[in-house]
Amino acid sequence: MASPCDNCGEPATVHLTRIVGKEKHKVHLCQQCADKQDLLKKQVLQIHNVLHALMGPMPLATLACPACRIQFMEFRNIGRLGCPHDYDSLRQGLEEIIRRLQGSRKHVGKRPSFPTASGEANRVLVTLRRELQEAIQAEDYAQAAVLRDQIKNSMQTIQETLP
Amino acid sequence: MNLDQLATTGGGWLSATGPDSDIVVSTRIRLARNLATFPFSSRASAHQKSEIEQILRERLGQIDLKIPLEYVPLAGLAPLDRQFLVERQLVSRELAGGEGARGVAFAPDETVSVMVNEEDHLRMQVMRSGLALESAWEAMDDLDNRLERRIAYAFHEEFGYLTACPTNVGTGMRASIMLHLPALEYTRQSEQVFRALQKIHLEVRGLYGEGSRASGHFYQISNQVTLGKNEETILKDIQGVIPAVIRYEKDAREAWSRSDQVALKERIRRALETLRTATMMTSEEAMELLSLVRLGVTMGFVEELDLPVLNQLFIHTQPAHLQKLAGRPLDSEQRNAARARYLQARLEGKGPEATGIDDESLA
Ligand SMILES: [Zn+2]
Ligand SMILES: [Zn+2]
Repeated sequence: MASPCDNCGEPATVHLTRIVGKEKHKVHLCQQCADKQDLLKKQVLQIHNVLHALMGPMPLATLACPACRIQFMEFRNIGRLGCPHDYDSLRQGLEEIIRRLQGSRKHVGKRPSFPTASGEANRVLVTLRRELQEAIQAEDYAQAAVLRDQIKNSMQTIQETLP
Repeated sequence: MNLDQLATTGGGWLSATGPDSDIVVSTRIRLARNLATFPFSSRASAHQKSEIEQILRERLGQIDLKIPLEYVPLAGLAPLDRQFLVERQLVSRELAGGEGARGVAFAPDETVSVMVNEEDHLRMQVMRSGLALESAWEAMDDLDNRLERRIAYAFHEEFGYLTACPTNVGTGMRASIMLHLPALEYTRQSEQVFRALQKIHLEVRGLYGEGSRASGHFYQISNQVTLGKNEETILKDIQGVIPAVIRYEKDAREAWSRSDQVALKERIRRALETLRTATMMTSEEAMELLSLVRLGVTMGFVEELDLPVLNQLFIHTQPAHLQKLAGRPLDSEQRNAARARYLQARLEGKGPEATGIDDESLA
C-alpha cells in the first residue's frame, strides 16, 4: 500500500530518507506537495527545512504531556494548554513561545504566602483524573471506584497544605 | 439574583465619581488563577467542569466580603440574560458563548465579578469608576489572598501563576483603563497615540474588546506583559502613561474648541437634538451621538445633563439591556424604535423605569 503524503494525505509518490546522526527520517510526499515545496527543482534536499515546514522541529512534534496527554502541536493549533503541568512537560517548546510573548521567562511578582503542594503531587492528580474519565468512558466502574478513592486521598493531602 | 432589576441601575463603575472621570470612565484589574489538580477548562470533561464549578462556587461562598458575592450559573441562563451580562461587562463574550458548567459570582454593586470556567478556572475582576488603579489592586489582592487560603492554586516557582494561555502566565494580571477619547478620534490623532502605547507593550482595544475603531470612542488601555514584572511595576507603567493620554485628549479638545468652537457646539447640539427627536435609532448611531453629547457635557457646552446618566445610556441602549427594560424580546427594527423612545424619555429627565418602553401597546 502506498503511504500517504505527509502534508495532505493523498497517495505519496516522492519518498525520501535522510540520516541525521543515528536516526533515519522518512518523508513521503505527493507530487503536488513536493512541487509546491520546490523539492525536486532544487535538487538539493534541505530535509530539515522540509520537516520543519511539515511539523516543526522534530522533537516538538512528539512532545506531549503525560498527565493530560495534550500534544505540543495540539497546543500550537488551539492556543490553549491542557493542564498546569504542561509548563514542565511541554517546556522545550513553550520556553521560546513564552520568551517571545513576554520578553521574560521568570516570574517576579506575587506568590502564595505559604508553601503549596509539590508539582509532582499535582501532576499525579491531573493524571488520576484523566484516568478516571477514561475508566468511566470504558464503563470500567470497578477501576473508576479505585481511582476515585485515590483522588480523594491525594486531595486530602493537598488540602492539608492550605493554612 | 434578579437580573431584570439590574437593568434599570447603573453599575458602580459608571458612576463618574472617580478621579479624572470626565475622560477616564473606569479602571479594572483582572487576575487569572487555576486549580492545581485539574486540567484547564477547555480540556476538562463535562463532569470535571461541574466539579470545578462546584468547588469554586463553594469556596467563593465561604469568603467574608463586605459585599457578599452572588453566584449566577450560566449554563441554565437564557441567551438574552447572558448577553445582558456581557453588555454589563460582568462576563466575557467567551464565557457567555461557552458551554458546560460555568458561571459568574458578582457583587450587586458590580465592583467585583469572578468568572468560573472561562479560559481559566478563575477570572476575577475588580472595577472602579475613574482612574483608581491603586484602590482596585488593593481590593483585587485582598480577594485573591482570601481565596488562596481555600484553593490550591496552580503556581510554578519559575513561571508564577499558571494559565491556560501563556499570554497570561506569571502575575495573571491584566489592568485596564477605559477612556473616552472623542477629540483624539475626531481630529485623527488616536492612531498615533495608540501606536506609541503599543511600542511600550500596552494594548489598546474598544469598549467590548473590539479592534481599532471603537464604538462610542471608548478605548481600553491594558498591559500586554504578565511575566518578568511584578504587579506594582505593571500598574506603575500604566499609571505612568494615562496622564499623558488624558493630556493629549484635553489638548485636542482645546485646540478643536479654539479653532472651530461654533461648528463644534453646533455639532454637539445637533447630536443632542437627534437623540431627542429620532423615532428610530441603531446602536452604532446612538453610540456616536452619545459620544458627542458626552464630550459636550465634559466641555461645559451641555449643562442640562450629567455624566452618570450619559455613561448609563451607552450601556442601556445596548440590545439586551433594551429588551430587559422593555420586558420582552424585540427584533432589530423594534429595538431601533425602543432605543429612540428610551433615549427621548431619559433625555427629558425621566428615570430608567419610567420611559414607557415596557408599554406593550406601543410595540
Ligand atoms: Zn500532498
Ligand atoms: Zn498536561
